[in-house]
Formats: sequence, structure tokens, C-alpha cells
Amino acid sequence: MFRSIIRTALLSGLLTLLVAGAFVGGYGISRMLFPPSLPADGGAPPEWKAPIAVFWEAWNYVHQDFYKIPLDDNALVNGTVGGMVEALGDPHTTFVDARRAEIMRSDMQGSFEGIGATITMREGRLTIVSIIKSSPAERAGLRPEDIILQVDGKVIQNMDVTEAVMLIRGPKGTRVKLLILRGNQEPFTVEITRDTIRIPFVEAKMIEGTKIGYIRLNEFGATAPDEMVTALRELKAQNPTGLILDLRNNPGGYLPVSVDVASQFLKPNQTVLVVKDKKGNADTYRAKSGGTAINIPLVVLIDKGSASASEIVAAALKDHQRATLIGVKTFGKGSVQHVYTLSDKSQLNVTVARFFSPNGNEIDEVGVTPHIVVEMTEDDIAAKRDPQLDAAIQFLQSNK
Amino acid sequence: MRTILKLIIALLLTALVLVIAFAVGFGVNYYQVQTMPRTEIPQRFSLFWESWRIIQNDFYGDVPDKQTLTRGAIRGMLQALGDPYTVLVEPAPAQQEQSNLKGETGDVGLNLDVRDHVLTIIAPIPGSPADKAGLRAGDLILKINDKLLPFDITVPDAQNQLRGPIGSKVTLTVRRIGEPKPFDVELTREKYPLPTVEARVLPGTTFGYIKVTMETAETANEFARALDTLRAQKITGLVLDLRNNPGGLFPDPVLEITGHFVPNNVVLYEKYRDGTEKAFNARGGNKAAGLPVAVLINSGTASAAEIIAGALKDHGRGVLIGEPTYGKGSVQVIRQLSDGSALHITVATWYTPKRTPLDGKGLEPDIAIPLTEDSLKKKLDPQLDRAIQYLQKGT
Repeated sequence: MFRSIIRTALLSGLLTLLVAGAFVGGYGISRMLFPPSLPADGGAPPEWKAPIAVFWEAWNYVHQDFYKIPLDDNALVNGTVGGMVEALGDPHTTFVDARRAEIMRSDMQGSFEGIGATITMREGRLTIVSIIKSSPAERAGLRPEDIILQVDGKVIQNMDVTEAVMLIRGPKGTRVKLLILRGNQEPFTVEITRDTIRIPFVEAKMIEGTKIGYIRLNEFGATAPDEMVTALRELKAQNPTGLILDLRNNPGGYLPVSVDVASQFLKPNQTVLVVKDKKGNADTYRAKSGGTAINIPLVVLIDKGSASASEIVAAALKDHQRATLIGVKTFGKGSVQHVYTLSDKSQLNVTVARFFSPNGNEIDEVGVTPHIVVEMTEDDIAAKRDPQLDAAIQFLQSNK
Repeated sequence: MRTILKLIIALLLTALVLVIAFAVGFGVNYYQVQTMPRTEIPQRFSLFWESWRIIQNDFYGDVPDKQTLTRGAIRGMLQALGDPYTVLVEPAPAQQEQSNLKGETGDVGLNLDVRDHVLTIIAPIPGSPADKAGLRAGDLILKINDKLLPFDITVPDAQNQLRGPIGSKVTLTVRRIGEPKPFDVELTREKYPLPTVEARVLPGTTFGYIKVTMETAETANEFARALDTLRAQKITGLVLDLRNNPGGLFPDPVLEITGHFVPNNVVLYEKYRDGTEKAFNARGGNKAAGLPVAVLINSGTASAAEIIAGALKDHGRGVLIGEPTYGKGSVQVIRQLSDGSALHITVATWYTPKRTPLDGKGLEPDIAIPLTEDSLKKKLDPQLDRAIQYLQKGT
């Protein structure tokens, strides 16, 4: 009796196991034959198949539930890539969608086709900040503080600045109609023929009443080296006794351009910077020959807006005791971004390396310290004074 | 011979059962796969892999794990929708949020105050862990979990630190007047429904006052009990205080509460993306029948609390007093994702019974009474005063 109970129990236990095994087997084989149809996601690497699944869950739910339709899948994909890149936690590694990338690219080339007005969005209204000299905008009589209400009949209130810029720019020779609001006047329409606009990266002049040349570099754009050479030649023709290189509020730009700019002031082969990638490989960038200003007394103006390529130049000139740095400590961005153009012309800026000054000094988060600290206060700005420039002039005149 | 036959039959039967089990297993997967939502992935998603490969090869810093990157990707996608309420909530907060809404957070049962920057026990709630551990009114709390409390400690901050999962422990360092040294007390958090309803008869009047701080699963019951208690005291009017009530669970608590004022009437319409509407009707509690009602609202009155205020207003069942409400008139569903995080997605927008949209605008009070810095400083409540006046004079 007892034995038979045990036997029955054993048998039914065995049977249950078998049934369970058959179920699992059937499920497994079925899963192999009919796997869940993962979306055709443009070739996920195998190691991503599992971790990305939760993204598709979220994507599905958004498409199933979200109250505003239709959804713009292109914008969602841009957001997705941007969000992934943001998760890297590096403020300099960024994704820029194709339309914005196009604007950035042409800006760094120093020329674009448009009307030649710098604009900003102020309280939801597209406002002209400045007019580029001898541009179509100037010829059409546009002025700073003018508000652009419509572009070709399209209302642009509260529009993203980039969107608005896209509307105003266009091929040379085409026309654009702007509805302008100026002060209390009735809004009026201006029709402007677009042209190629060049924004110089370099501005140069002799400082009035002195023998000192002044060069301002706004950004390390593609044409900056040529502009720099031209400017230096023109200044040198006036026999200056000293030079001021103004790198304040210069956010940087292309790394090779920083080498070209530094080469104007350094002896050939002097180290400009050392770049180290994450494997520790070091690359030394050296000054090219043919510098046009390698002996003249030099002051470099720096401030907390001098970043990246500006810091390369300032640190190199400091380490080689080629220049006296005046102003305040620089921003402290010592990383190199490689700019990748993706298949759809969007742009991925990736931090790929760090750079160090010729003496091996860290720049990232440290910045470059001036020899002579001169602050620029709010009061100075309000009164249009420039104590840093004044200090530079005084320094060059007293060190003759 | 017969045994052999029996054995064969048994074997055949077993085989049949196994085949059926196999087929069922096979079918279950097939069904699952067939019914999974199909996604149309734009070709452009390859951009993601293109970017990832570049980052993996060239990025200077440490690349976070794939889960972090995936969550970043989800966040970025949601941001592109441009709706502040469609968000990803990561596992830890999501669990906390779930338990907060269900009223399942563990607590130690202390009524607290801050006096001269010191966290002070007003009273332990009878029967609570704090009570059982012998804490007393007037005890001063110096540290929570061995961490010195900051100078600017507030009661909500302290409550947040004291609350946690049911069964978890929290250690308090307590200073008691008359004892030479501070001592430690270890308390185990218990399910202690955070009261969301506070009720009393307003002194010097025959009016009841009910404050609802948020809507949880317990709120409707608390509210019904509060009404019972007040009606037993023969109140002749009611102040319903929804100020700084951020909402919470919807729809049950809302339909229960409104059911005491506008039984079985429409409370709100949800409008979906395809233009369809869904009406929500109040339940039938009707415990506030016949009572004039003044509803206090301000800019902290949001979401579920705005529905209550809007329904009472539109049905002429209550007069709104105070300041315009927050204007959170959209509905989110919470979708659990397989990694434990939760997705809040806006699925609809809200309209009051008279089809006033709540989205982004908020409700205007019938009687506008701002709360000034001055009255705050003097601890005056002109909004409540005005509500009492309204109930007394009917205007």
C-alpha cells in the first residue's frame, strides 16, 4: 500500500517533469524557428541586441500612446542619437543634426550665402544684432534692433533661431522678402538679393597714437591663417614696435589652424602642443617655417572666454617665453574633438584626445594663467573701457 | 501479456501527453511572437549604430555601460517630443513612486516640527514604531542614520528621510531633556498610511474643513471617514482645501471624492489623439449632500486636484476661492519597461464638464484672493477667512 503510494508519486512526478520538459522544448524550438521579429534597425551589433530591446519598448509605447500625432520619426531618431551621446557625460561630445551642421560648417568656412545680418531670438522675436559691412543687408538699409516678423510670408515668432537662419539663407542671386518691424513704425517689407557673405576671422589695425599693431582673432576658422598672414604683412609695413594678439572671447576652432597661427610667432620646429589619445599615444605638433612675426615684442590678451585653440596658442607662446600674457585665466578646455560627418550629413563631434602645452602642462580644467592679471569689471564694460588693452599698450611701450 | 498491453497503452498515452505539451509550448511562443507590437523603424536609425561605432572606437573618456546609453537614447527620443510630462523614470524612483501612490511607503509615525532649527517631535502617533520604541513629545532629533541634520532642515525633508520601504530600518540620534547624553533609537518602518486627508470643525463656526494633500489609493476612504466624522458633528458648510495638492492617482480617488458632491455626474472628459472622448462619471457616495461648499485653490493645485475643483465649479456645487490653479490638464499612462524603469506618456488632454480645457491654463477662481508675503509672515490665511465668510453669507 505504502509502496504503491510512493510509486504513484514518483511516477506522476516523473510524468510532470516530462510534460514540463516537452513544453519548454516546444517553446524553445518554436522560438528558434519563429524568433520575435526584432525591428530592422539598420544593423545592430550583436552585443546590442539585448540592451537595445528596452529602447524599442519605449519607442513602441510612444508610437502607440502619445497624444500628438503624427510623430516626426526623423526628429525622434535625432533625439535618440543626441540622448545616447549626452549619456557619455562629456559636454564636448555632441550630436548636431544635418541642418544645424550645415550652418556650423559654412560658418567655420568664413563664408556663406545669405544677406549678412547677425540675428538672435530675443523674447520670442527675431532681432538683428549687427549688420555685416557692405552686405546685402546693409545695402537694403537694415539696422541693428530691427525685428524680423516674417520671412517670405512665413511668421517666425518663437521659432528656433536655426530654423529662422535656414529660411533667410539661400543660394546667391535668389531673393528673400522680409517683413521688418522698426521702433513704432508700421511693419514694412524689404526685398533682398542674397549674396556670398564673408565674415572675417581677423581684424587688424595700428593702435592710434602708437607704434603698436593690434590683431583680433575671433575664431580659429578655416581661412584664419591666410587672413592672419595678410594682416601681419599689412601691419609690418607700418613698422610696429610691438604687437597685441587679442584672443579674448575666442572659443577656439580647428586645431591645425591653431598650429598655423602659433607658427606666425614661433621659430620653426618649436613645439606648439602635444596631443595624447586614450591609449597614451602622444603626437607632437610643431611650428611651421615662414612665421612673419617671430621676433617682434608680443602681448597676448586672454580671458575666461579664451578656450581650446586659443589656449593652445596662448600656452605655446607662454612656454617658449615668446609673449607676455595679460588678462585673466582662460577657460580650461584641453580636449580635442574629431568632427565626423555621418551618412545623413549630420555631425558627431567626439572628444578623442587631450592636449598639453609644450612644457607638458595640463590645460583641461586648469586653463592658462596670465603673466599680468588685469580684470575687466562690469563697470568697465558699461563705460566702454578696456583696462586689459590699456595694460598691454603700456607694457609694450615701457619695454621698448 | 496484459501487463505488456497496459504498459504499451501507458507509454502511448504518455507520449501523447508529451506531444500535446510540446505543441502547446510551441504554440505559446508562436502566439507571443505574432501578437507583439510591430514597429516600423525608420531607415535612419542606422545613424545610431554609426554614431555608436565611432564613439566606441574613438571616444576619449570611459564609455558608460549599454544600459546607461540606452536610457540616454530613450531620454533623447522623449525630449524630441517636446512634452514635459512624457518622461522616463528610472527604476529606483519608479518603485518609490509606485509605492507612494499606493500608500505603501513605510514610516515610523512621527509628527514633527522644526523649532530653532532643531527637528522636534510634536508627538509619536499612538501604536506607531516610534511610539513603541518609547519616543516622546519634545524629544529632539539630532541625526538620522548617523548623519547630522543640516541647519536648514525642513519637516518634509526629514519625513522623506524617515520614510522608506516597509521593513527597512532607520536610526535616530535623540536628545531628551533631562538625560545627560544623546542616545540612538533604531526603528523599523511599518506600513503606515501617510494621511492625505486632514479634517476638523473650524473653531467658532459650524463649518467643516477638509484638506486633501494628494490623491492616493487611501485618500477616498480617508475622505469618506472625514465627512462622516464632520457630519456627525452637524456641520452646515464645508471648506475643501485643495491648495498645494499636486494630484496623484487618477481616476478612483477623484471619482470617489467628487461622488460626494456631484453623484453620478460627469467629472471630466479625456480627449484622445484620434479625437475621441471618454467621459468619467463620479461615483454615488453623496455624503456631502446639502452642504454648501467653498473650494480653496492656488497655483499648487494641479492635475487630479484640478479635476475635483473643475467638476464642482461646473456643476455649481462649489465656489472656487484663492488663486488660479496650475494647469496640468494632460493625462499620462505609466508604462513599465522590461528593465524596471517606467515611461510616463501623455495620452490625452483634460476638459472639465463644461469643456474648459485644463491643459496649460488652469482654473480661474470665482473669488480671487491672493496670498501675500505679508499674510504669510503673519501666519494669516485670508483665503480661508474668505471661504468662511462665503459660507456664512452665501456670497
